[in-house]
Amino acid sequence: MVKAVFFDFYNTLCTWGQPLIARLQKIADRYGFEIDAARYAAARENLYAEASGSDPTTHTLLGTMQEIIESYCEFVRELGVQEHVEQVTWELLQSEHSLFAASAATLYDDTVPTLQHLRDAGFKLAIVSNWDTPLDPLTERLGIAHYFDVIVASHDARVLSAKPDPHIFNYTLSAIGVSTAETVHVGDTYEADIVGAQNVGIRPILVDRDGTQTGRWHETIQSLSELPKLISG
Amino acid sequence: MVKAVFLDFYETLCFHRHSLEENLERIAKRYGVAVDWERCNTAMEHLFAGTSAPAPPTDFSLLELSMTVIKRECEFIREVGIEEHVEQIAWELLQSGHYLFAANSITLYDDVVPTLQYLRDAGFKLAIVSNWDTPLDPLTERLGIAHYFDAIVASHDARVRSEKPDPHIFNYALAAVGVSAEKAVHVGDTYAADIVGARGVGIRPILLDRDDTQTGRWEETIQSLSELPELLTLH
Repeated sequence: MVKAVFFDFYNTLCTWGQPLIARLQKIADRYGFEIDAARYAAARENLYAEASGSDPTTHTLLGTMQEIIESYCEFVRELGVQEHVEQVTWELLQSEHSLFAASAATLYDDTVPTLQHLRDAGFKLAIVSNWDTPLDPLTERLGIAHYFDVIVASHDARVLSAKPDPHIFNYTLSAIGVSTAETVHVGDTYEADIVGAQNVGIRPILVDRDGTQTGRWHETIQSLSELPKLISG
Repeated sequence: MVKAVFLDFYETLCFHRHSLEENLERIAKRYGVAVDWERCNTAMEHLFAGTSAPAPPTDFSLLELSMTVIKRECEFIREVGIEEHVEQIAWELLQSGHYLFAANSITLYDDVVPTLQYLRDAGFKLAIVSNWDTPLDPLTERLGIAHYFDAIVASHDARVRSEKPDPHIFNYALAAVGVSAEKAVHVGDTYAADIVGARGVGIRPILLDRDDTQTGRWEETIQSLSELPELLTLH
C-alpha cells in the first residue's frame, strides 16, 4: 500500500512564468538596446550550457551565486550590450532567476488540487529535487510548503546528493519514516526521476505534460490529477 | 500649478511584511538550531550599521554588493550563536526577507494604489525618487505599480549616481518627466533626505508622517497618501 508520494519540483509542480526572451525584451526597451536574434540564440545556448549540473558535494552558495552572476554578465555581453552591463544583468536576474525572483515561478493548475487531495487522503508528501539552494523559502512563497512533510534539495548542506544518486532518495525516505515499498516518486525527467527511483526500489511515475515521452515508461501520466486514482487503486 | 508628483519609495509607498526576527525564528526552527536572542539586538545593530553606509555612488558594484550582503548576513547568523550551516541559513534568511532576494516580502501601504490611480487619472506626472542601491524597475513591476510612473529613479542606478538630499537626483527626475522644479512636489518620510533635499532644488516638499512621530517638523505634513489629491488640487 502506498503511504508516501515524492515529487520532483521543476516542470513537475511548477514552471517559470515568462520565457527569457520576453523578460529580456522588456529590459532592452528600458535601456534602449536591440536584441539580435542570432546573437541571442548563441548566447542563450552558452548560458544554459554553463548553468547545467554543478556538483552538489563541492558546491558553496557563495561560489554558485558568483558563477551565476558572472555567467549572466557574460550572456549580456554576448548580446552586444556595452553600457551598464552589470546593471542590466542584475535586472535580468531579478526578473527571471530562481535565486532572485522566486515570484517568477508559477504552479501548474493541477498542483494545489492534487496536493490537497493527497494530503486529505492521508499520504505523506515530499519534494525530491535537484536544486542548488534550499527550497523552503521558494515553496513557502509559492504557498505549497505546508503540504509537505519534508522538502529535499540536492545541494542542501544536509543532503549533498543529486538524483539519480540513491542517497537523496534514502535521505527522504528516512526523513518521513517510510519504506521504499510504500513510496512512489513522480517526476518528468527519465534519468533522474525514473532511473533514480527505480534503483532504490521506489515505484516511479513519469509525468509527461506535453506528450513528448510516449512509450518511454509504462506508468506515465499527463497531469498530476491522474495521480490519486493511480495510487489508491 | 502642480504638474508632477515625486514620491519616495521605502516607508512612503511600501514596507516589509515580516520582521527579521520572525523570519529567523522560523528558519532556525526548521534547522533545529538555537538562537541566542539576547545577542540578537546587538547583532542586528551591526547588520544594519553596515548597510547604512553605502559605497560612494560613483564607485559601486552590484556584484560586490550582493557578495557583501551575503557575507554580512553570515556574520549576523554567527553573532546570534548559530554555528552549523551558517551560509545556508543566511541564504534562507535573505530569501525570506531581503529585497535583493525576496522582492515580494515587500508590501504596499493600502493608500498607495488608490492614490496613484487618482493622481494618474487627474493627469499628474508621477515619479519615484529613492535612495536605493539597485534599479527599482523589477521590484516596482512585481509590486504592480511600475505602470503608474513616468520615471523610476534610484540613487545607485548607473544612470543616476546621486543620493537625496543631493540636488542631482532631483534634477535628473525633473528632466526625465520634463517639468520644472516649481511645478513639482516631492513626498517622503525622511526629513533630511526628502524635505531638505527637495527644498534645496526648489521643489515643494511634503512630509509623510504615517505613525505621527514627526509632529511640528514641517509645515506641510500628511499622515496618509490619501490626503494628497486634495492638497494638490487646492493649491
